[in-house]
Amino acid sequence: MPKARKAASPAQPGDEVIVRCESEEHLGVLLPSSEKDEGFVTLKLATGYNIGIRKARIASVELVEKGSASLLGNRKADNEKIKVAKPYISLVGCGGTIVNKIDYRTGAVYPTTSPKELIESLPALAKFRIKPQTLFSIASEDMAPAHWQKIAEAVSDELKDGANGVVLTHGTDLMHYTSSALSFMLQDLPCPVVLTGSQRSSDRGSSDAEVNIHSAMVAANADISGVFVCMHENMSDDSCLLHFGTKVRKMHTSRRDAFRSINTFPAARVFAASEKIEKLSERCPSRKPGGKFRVDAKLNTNVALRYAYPGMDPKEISSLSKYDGVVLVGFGLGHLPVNLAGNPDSIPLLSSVRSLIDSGIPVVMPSQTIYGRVDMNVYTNQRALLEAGIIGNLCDMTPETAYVKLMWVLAREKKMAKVKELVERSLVGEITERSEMAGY
Amino acid sequence: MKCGIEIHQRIFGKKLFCGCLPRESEGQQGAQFSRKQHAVLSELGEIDAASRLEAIRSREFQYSAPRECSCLVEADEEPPHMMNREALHAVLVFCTLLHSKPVDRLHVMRKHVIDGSNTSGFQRTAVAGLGGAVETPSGKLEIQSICIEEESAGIIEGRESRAAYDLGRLGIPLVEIATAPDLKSGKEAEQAALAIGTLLRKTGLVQRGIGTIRQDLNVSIPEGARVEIKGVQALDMVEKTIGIEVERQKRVLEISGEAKRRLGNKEIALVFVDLTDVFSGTKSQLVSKSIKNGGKVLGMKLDGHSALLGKEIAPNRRFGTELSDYARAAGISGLIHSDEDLAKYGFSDDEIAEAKVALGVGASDAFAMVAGEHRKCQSALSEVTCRANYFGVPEETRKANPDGTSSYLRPLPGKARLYPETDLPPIEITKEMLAEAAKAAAATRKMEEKQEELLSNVNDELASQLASAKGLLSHNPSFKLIAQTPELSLFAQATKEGTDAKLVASTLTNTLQSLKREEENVKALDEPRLLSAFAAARKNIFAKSAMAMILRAMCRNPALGPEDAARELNLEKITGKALEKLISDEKLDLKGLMAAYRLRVDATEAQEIFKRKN
Repeated sequence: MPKARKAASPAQPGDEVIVRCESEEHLGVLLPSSEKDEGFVTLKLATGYNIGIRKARIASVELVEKGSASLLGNRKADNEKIKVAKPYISLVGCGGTIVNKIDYRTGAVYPTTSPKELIESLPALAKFRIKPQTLFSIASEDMAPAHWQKIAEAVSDELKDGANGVVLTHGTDLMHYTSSALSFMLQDLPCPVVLTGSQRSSDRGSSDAEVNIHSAMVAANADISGVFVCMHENMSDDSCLLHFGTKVRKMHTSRRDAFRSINTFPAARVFAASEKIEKLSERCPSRKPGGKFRVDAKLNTNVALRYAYPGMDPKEISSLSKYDGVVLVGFGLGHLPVNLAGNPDSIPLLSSVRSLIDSGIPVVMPSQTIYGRVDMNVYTNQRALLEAGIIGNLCDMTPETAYVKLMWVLAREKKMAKVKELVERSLVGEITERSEMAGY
Repeated sequence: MKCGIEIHQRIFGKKLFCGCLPRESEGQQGAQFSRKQHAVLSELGEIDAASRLEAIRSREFQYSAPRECSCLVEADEEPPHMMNREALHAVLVFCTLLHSKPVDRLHVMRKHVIDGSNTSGFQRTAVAGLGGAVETPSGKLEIQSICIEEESAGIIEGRESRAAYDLGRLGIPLVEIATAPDLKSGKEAEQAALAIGTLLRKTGLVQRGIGTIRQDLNVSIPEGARVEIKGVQALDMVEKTIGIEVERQKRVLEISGEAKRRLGNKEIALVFVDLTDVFSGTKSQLVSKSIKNGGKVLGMKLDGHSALLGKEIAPNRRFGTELSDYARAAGISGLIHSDEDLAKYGFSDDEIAEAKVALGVGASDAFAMVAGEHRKCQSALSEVTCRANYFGVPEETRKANPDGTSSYLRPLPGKARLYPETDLPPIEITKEMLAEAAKAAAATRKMEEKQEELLSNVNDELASQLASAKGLLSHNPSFKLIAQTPELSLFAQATKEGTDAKLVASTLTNTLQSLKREEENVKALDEPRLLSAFAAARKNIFAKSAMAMILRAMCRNPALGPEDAARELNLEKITGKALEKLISDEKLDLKGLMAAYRLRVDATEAQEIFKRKN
């Protein structure tokens, strides 16, 4: 074991140290501690293994050699202006698992890799002309409507600069909210805007990041236009699916193929290895050069999204009166407890919903089944809901798309009848006319 | 010679990071999927050499996921669950028995393995204990570390461009015990492996049977280098493998010494020549097929290496074989070199002469060629050049071959291969956990004493066979284990019931082994059925000598009892008055009696009858 040097300053993370305990001593590199880690010191042994040593047992920590401080990862966002010759694809980093690596504050992962580093680490991307930038490095769950607006502006800037297509790296949890919002905000897109991410972080050999982002690049160069989500088709690395931005939802907590097209066939299939794209839906438009692209990112964010549930207190409905609009996710074909039969144990919500609507607050109802179309003409109970003025009959939107759409519509229209008309009309493909059998 | 040994032993119970129970996955239906893997940076920002090499190969991995013993965790489609606490307990018991100091807090690490054998791209592993010692016949051997880790997937098929794996065994908990490099001979290494393996089995916490334990060897000689030989499956191959490796390192040193002498300070140049045109009309199927598929033929001159590639470094393995393994590691099917019989490939003399001219091969030089995808050919010849320019024994990981030789697998992985498992919080090893482990370790030691007492009335050979008997007996969960192993428990129970100890011991070892060799369905014999056979022997239903015949019949018909077996086979024992009557009726002497009725008569009883008659 090397001799310890007398330390002028206490050992820092990254330094090589000898930790002496009563009965033994360990030589290794001191690692940063996590915030909730007070009782232990973490040491990387010469073998590469980490171990935890109880502070109470440590007699001394002696410096052997000063190390580099790079372990802390306090890297500044690498956002220098990069000039790339046309045609190029803009890669806009919005955080998420795809740019995650270890965060010593918690010992778990956090988005800290820049899109530039990501490109450099993925050999398959070498042949693409890519202009990378970091918009933000946040986890998916921290994404809010204000972020959607910033993304829309960033995409617009990139398109004005002449990008051939845009790829957005994004956390997967809320990716379908963002894709839905961008679908409404980016009107008449001339080219593809593709959101992608990964379910396994890029710091592991099995990450789905490379195939996803490679496929997204292929899609961004393809002859299609609109907002899409590009993620694994199944458990294999062979192909990805392009889902329409408003008709997609994360349907699994962890699988690579968590994203599914809801109530429609996916737009296209992409094979990363051969860089081929295969259109799957006749609704998938070609590029529209010279079109009338515009950004319309205004939102009324004073909208609530609530799930109905058995035993729901009518007061909960009444408490929604502070909002300008409510998405109430109902049961089955579009139900809430109305209790027309007067069963003594039932808790009807009809009158509280009716007063909400009567006070001028639009209530939109998608279904908790996720798949399938709402149809409130079928049961007597539903007719009562329709008469009360619930919006969304015969629509097949996901709850998330209904929520985003209501925010977008309410930023433009206040009149109940007009709001209803806009919500129930397909604006950017979010409502299909035909329920394709393959949509489930 | 210096040698250290690493023992990998599967721990009994559920998998380490999910709820699956390991089972035989043969013939099980399940999902199929395919993946790619890529090299990633370590925690300290480096790429491991072994990982980089595998990334060059860029293979596709095909996985088969048996439904009953694999789930989304094995498919790398769900984060790991918390570590199996029973497996951790077992490892803490081993730490106690081996006097190893458990860590205060366990950190699960990812050891990058991108050869496809782990769907995640890494093996999860953690140091559980540091230091320790084990008693071996040649003295106390120091233990360096004890790790808890997960088993890899089993390979079904491995080729240059793709490999197929079965996920049935992926994630089975393993304990890895690494000794200090203090072993001085192959014999000592074998004894150390036996001592550690036996100790682990005595706890009753590990899996038994073929494939559940394997040894990795770290061998070095003076002037040589540390070479890791992975996956020696049989204990009796340890000594031989070490012997061959020591010899290999010596021969490699001789060869590289000679090359160095010839070359002086020169090195082999990294110059590759495209020989595709030379071989465009070749009759060699290997090469013509490669060219037809759009591949290239690349060649290089190995300055000063004439006749060195043909020198043997291990049984049936030449220095050229070694270089060929390096080429193969870069994803090429093999290396063609000048010390081989080139006619066997189907090359004409003209082709070879032309190639030699193109490469500028002189009298003291050798040459080598590869065929295949251009990029892979280049990396293969780069690997070969680097290896040849090393002029010595490089540190490397090798794969143990069944004949005791080994082949190059990849560079020795460094610490850059380890990265923290961010999906799992560290686990504090509490006082309570250590107390539990100490209790179980004490019980093992007590069992050990009990075992010595138990086996005191069988001879040493049978006793040691019985103590180390592995997995032949099919354990019935209804039979309560009262000693470390099912064999010993059954031995204790049968002798307690009054069965002759020698009969029980030889039945559980020799008889079961020979039935297994005869490919009888030994699995049909569990403890209750064997106890019924012992009871029938005690009750004189059949003679001891007929035990193998009775058990064979019981293997073939799992519903058959020993009495019915004796009746059906006409093996009912002739004893007492009936035996005396038989002797007098047929006027037999002892020899004649035993010749005709060996399987129905007890020799001791017959001897006594004749003794009384005389």
